[in-house]
Amino acid sequence: MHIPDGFVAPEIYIPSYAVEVLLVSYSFKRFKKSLEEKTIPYLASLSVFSFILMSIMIPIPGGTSIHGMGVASISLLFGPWVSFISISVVLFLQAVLLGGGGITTFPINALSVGFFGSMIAYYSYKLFIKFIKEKITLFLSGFLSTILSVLLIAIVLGIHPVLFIDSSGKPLYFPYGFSVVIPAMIIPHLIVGIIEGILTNLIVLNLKNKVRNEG
Amino acid sequence: MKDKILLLIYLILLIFISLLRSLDVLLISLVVLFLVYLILPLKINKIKSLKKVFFTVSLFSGIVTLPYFVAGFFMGENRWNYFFAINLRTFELAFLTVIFLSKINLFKALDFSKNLTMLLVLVSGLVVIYSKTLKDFQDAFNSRTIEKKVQIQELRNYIKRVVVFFFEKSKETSQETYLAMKSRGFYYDNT
Repeated sequence: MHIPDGFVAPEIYIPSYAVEVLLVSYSFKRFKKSLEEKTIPYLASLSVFSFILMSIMIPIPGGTSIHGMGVASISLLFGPWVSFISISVVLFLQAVLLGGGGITTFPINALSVGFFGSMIAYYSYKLFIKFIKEKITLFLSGFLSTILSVLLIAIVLGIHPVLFIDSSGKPLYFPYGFSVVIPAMIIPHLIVGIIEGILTNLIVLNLKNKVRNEG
Repeated sequence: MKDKILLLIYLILLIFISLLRSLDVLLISLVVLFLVYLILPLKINKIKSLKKVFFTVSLFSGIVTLPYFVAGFFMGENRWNYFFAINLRTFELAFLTVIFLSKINLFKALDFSKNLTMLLVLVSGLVVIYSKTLKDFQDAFNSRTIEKKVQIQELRNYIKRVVVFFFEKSKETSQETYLAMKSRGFYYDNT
């Protein structure tokens, strides 16, 4: 979400930060139990790998290009909790060092894309693989993780003009309600979702044997 | 300790400015912030940073607020107040972030957790190196496909190569970093 600071109310971003910190601490402890000393270098390398997956530009008709998110790929290859922590680290650094995304929008991005997106990718794969071919399942997993995490962001933004208005009924933060923000965010992200689905398919099929080989 | 205090002040100001609603107060606080920006010795090109903040905020904030303002105009609603207040707040928060991030050593400010600091230091360093390598890949691909339409198969092969290359590189980096940290006593100090 490339929304700058100022559009999200503190009543939303402060609790979001609290939830983000709790979930990151939990996933870090969970991960540290199994990897011990190798936790930090492993997480650092995976975070940078996530960053690269987010940076790969795909040309689309019209002379422009868009990038995927890599969330579903990381989640399916390494597990949703590892994916969540790596994506959170990348989004945090993008917000504070690389000027991408705001400080106040970071926890909303991290929870929706990093946490919710990773969980959706992982569990939708687990569910669909029982009935559908792997290639289609991978596509669906990437597509759904993108669209549903964008939907969550749209809901968080769309709730602002309902909860935060002045005495004359005018919005104080993000101005558009659900009827505008949901289609405005979902429709353009359909293309991103399709690209993410294709990328997930390509990446996971190419790397899953290499990950398994590592034990 | 200085960095931790500055980070705390930054966070308090961030919440305070986020809560401001009056146009007058927003204007006054922006002027104060601007004066602080001019007076404080910062290790950045002030004019360049100011331009960057202005254009970035105008672009992203404009995409959201301008259509809302124009729609209000056609519906006979006066949305000037909202338009100015939200853009002033956004500009002010971006400005505040530029000032504080140029004064704070983020890694020192967050060193209440040794693991977290180490993770951030490693990732921020590796991101720069990997980005340069990715740019080389992109330039090479662009030079091969210049003056012709990119075929889907070419794009697939390019993505596969990039992904496998960076995956292998990440694996090697992880092992090398682990050994480097161990040889420098990181784990010994940590216990």
